[in-house]
Amino acid sequence: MRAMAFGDPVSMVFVASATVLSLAVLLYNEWYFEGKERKTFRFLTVGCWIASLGALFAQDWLVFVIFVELVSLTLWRMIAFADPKAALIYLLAQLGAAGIMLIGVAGVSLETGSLAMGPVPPEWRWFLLFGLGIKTAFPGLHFWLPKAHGAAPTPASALLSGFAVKLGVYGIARLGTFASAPELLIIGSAMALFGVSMALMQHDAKRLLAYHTVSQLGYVVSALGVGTLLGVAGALYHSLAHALFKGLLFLSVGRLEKAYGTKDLRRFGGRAAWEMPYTFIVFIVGALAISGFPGMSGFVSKVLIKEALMEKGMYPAYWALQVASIGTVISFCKLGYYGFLSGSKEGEGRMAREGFVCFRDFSGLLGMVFLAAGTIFLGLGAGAATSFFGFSASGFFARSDVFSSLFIVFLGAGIFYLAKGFLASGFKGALTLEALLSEALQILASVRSALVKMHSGSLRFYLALAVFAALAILCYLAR
Amino acid sequence: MIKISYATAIFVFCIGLYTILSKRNLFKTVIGLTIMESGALMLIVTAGYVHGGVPPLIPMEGQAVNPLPHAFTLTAIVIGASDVALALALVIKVHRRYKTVDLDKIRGLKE
Amino acid sequence: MILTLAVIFPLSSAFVIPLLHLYGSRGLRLFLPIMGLGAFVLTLAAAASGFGDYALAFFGGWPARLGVVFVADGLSSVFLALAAFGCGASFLYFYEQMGTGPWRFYVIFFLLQASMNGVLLTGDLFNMFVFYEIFSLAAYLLVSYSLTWQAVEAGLKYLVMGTVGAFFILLGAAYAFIATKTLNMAALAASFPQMPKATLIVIAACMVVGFSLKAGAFPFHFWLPDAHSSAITAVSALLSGVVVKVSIYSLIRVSLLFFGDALPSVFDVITVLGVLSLLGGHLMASRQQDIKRLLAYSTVAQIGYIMIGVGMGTATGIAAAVFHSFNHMLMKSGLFITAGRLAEEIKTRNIQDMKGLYYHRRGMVLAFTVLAAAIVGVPPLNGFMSKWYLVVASVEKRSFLAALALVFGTVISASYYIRVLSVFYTPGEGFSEHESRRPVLAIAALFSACCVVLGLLPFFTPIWELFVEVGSKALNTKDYIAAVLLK
Repeated sequence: MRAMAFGDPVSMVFVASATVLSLAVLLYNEWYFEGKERKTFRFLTVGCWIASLGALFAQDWLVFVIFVELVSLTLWRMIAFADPKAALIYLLAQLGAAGIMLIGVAGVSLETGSLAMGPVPPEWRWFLLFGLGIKTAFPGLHFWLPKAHGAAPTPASALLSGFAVKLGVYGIARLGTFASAPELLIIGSAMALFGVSMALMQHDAKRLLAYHTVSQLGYVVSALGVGTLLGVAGALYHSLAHALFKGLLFLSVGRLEKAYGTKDLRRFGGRAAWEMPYTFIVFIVGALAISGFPGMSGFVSKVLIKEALMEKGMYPAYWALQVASIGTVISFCKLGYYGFLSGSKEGEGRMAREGFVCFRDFSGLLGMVFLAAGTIFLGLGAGAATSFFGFSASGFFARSDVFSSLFIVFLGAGIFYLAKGFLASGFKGALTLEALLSEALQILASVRSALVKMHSGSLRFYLALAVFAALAILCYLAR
Repeated sequence: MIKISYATAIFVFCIGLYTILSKRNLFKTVIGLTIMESGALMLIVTAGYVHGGVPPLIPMEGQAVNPLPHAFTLTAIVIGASDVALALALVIKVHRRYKTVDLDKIRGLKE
Repeated sequence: MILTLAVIFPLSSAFVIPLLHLYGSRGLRLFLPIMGLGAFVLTLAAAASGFGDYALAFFGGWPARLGVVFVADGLSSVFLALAAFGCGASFLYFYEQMGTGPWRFYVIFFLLQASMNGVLLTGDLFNMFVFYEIFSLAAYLLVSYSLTWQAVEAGLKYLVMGTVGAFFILLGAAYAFIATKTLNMAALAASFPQMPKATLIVIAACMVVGFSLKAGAFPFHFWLPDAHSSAITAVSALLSGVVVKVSIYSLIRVSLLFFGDALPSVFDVITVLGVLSLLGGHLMASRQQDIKRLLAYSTVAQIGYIMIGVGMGTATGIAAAVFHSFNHMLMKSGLFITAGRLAEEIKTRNIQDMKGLYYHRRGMVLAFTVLAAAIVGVPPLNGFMSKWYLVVASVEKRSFLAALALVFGTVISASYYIRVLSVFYTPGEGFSEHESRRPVLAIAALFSACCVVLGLLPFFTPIWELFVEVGSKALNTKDYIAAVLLK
């Protein structure tokens, strides 16, 4: 059984994103943590990176699941530093996902006689898709994501959004190579729209970013659903780009959080642009990239995906993604405005301007600059980067694409300008599965309390129960 | 004839079970255990029954009954006796702590 | 010869110990380690002799139809090895802690080991019942050995429920005897398929109920948490690690041999019992505050896993069940020894009072962590591997509900083991500053190392194929009948 091997371009792209992001987070950790925690996080980040390399180089599904679980474990440990309860929910969701995937993997291995990663028989595809869907946060299966992100320390959030969820995407990419998959198209567009609409309602900065992760993964999933070379390339490109700019956004929001002691958009005070100019600059890079502004990485990948959709004539998905793009622009205008700009310039300075007192400050910023450079490189050097995938990237800066992207950006900004007051309030989303989940937990709790009542300590009751069970068994056998 | 003996054995077994389920007194529980045991043993003994058979001793006249179940029964009786002895010893120990042999009051361990 | 010795040696040890005690403690000090080692080696030797081919031992030269016969095949070999390691570890632990002082304990212990080997080896149904009762009696005695009120009450409840179970088994054996006029298991297996359906059903119900009562499957499990949590540490490890496995062995042996072809719906019953005990055990464990009770309920759940494997009734299922039995022996014995030792040292079993234990008992808590991770099913450890094979078995049989229950149970178990571990690792104060003694640490380390090794072995060696072979051999009743009856 050849369990591990150096991968093809598909895994190399994910390896690249994992490596770059881990490096940036390692640098950022030096600034973010103190003392013993810093050491632990160094260790955990490296462990997470190694485990994800294992998952990406895995040649069979079982080894893949094992390493993905190890990634979840390291991330669980990271989240548990901040909030053990959210971490537990995260870990249990991941364990359940892994278990469901294992059922599918078992079926695959029984039917085809091999565990090799690749397309699987349709019957078992659903199990794998369900398990990977929890990992990738398909709408309806995403319940763990905002909780985990809301609670996690910033570096853990960056890793989580940057590549832990990408491992699910990687699995989906392996599931079906170059075959059109309408279910992925539907799920992907639904994810893109759902994520954006949820993100618009958030006023917790990190939850907002978390829902954007859902939305951006929707692009990737629907691109995978197209099934052409262009689509897969777009998906990979967007995964890489998203790892970089989402990591960047999380890290910059983490700096805000650390500086102002809150994640609530309404309480940032909005003077960050003047007090933390370097953070503001890299944030702008990230926000432009996620909005698909020409010249940034997000522009290239989104154009690739939309081209792929157009080529196959999948217009509903195309328009869904366009709408999601507008929503993305709106919500990042919101984040930028309330996070950095809304306050007056002359407000009472609560803190000194950020500077470089020691290596730690420098290191924290360096991590972000590193990611920002990567984002810009992926945008401007699209030709060089795409040739890596084995096709030329001519025509990406075609005038129509640039104009349509710019149009979306300005449309979104305009809508934000008009509807600012409405969005500022930020109302709670009604569309969460958390309610359903807690309902299920309540049922479980009542089952448990019934069980507890059964363990009354009365021997006669125990024996009576045993005799009833014996009679039931007899009846079943005699049926 | 043999059917009746089977039915009797099972009836005795059920009486034992019923005793354990219905009586709160620990001693009666132990008695119930022995009654259950007797039921099962009666069933085994009946299995060796041969109509008109004679005891399986060496100068045999006519067809002998099957001696195997008797050996089983003896073994099982010994086992049952040791079970009951241990049960009674434990009842005494339990009585020292609870000052009662009422099963419904001996509920220190639960949940 | 070696088969009989595996029973005779511990049995005679049990009788020699009181005599030795009469002549002072020097003899005991000299002979006890030899007895323990001898029993361990002989049991392993018996296991080795039966692993390849059927090993038989006839008593008094009578052929199998007339006399009692000992049979060792792959299935009993694996369980013999399990019993050897589990008993050895628990013996070592108790010997390290108490020395030769409590000689009565060793009498019961060797009685237990002898009768367990007997159950695992015998090829005669009534003989199995006799050994079963000896080992149950020894187990009741061991549970109430410490004579605290919990131990006595738990022992009494265990005794009443276990005896009722034993009588169900006896009733089943009696019916089988009436129907076939034989009690040799091979001969019974040969004649079961011709039996009328009604008789079969009654026998099957009696057997399944009896063995479930003894093994502690869900609606019959009520004695188990009491007994396993009230006993002293060494006994808890022994009970959870080995004693319930012997009942599982009998369940596998009887259900495969007698009902494999004749009444396949027995396996549905076993699967349902497995699913119920899995869910019930995990749910109950998740609200326990007493660490030993938590582990005991976790044992109920793990029995559920094993029974799901048995209930699949395929070679893969049996192999997965056997593999999980072995792994569970390692994990749960280790957990009981580490947790029990920690609880003894800090004189409380309440989880909340164990805050910050990691910073005072580093070695023990680390071993506990590895073992708990293994039992939850964290990937490269043995618990994960055996659960994966259980999932494979249940998917092969297309029983997705069982597979989903496996997954769901794992999720619950993760939640409560994490609760325990997070208490251990939260900083706290108030323990005396000394690590447990070396030998105990060595035992704990050995168990956790075994967990890691057994988790990685399937990737590098064909160990799983070995287990599948054991399973398929256990399924092949014709070979068994031929091997026993035609010799």
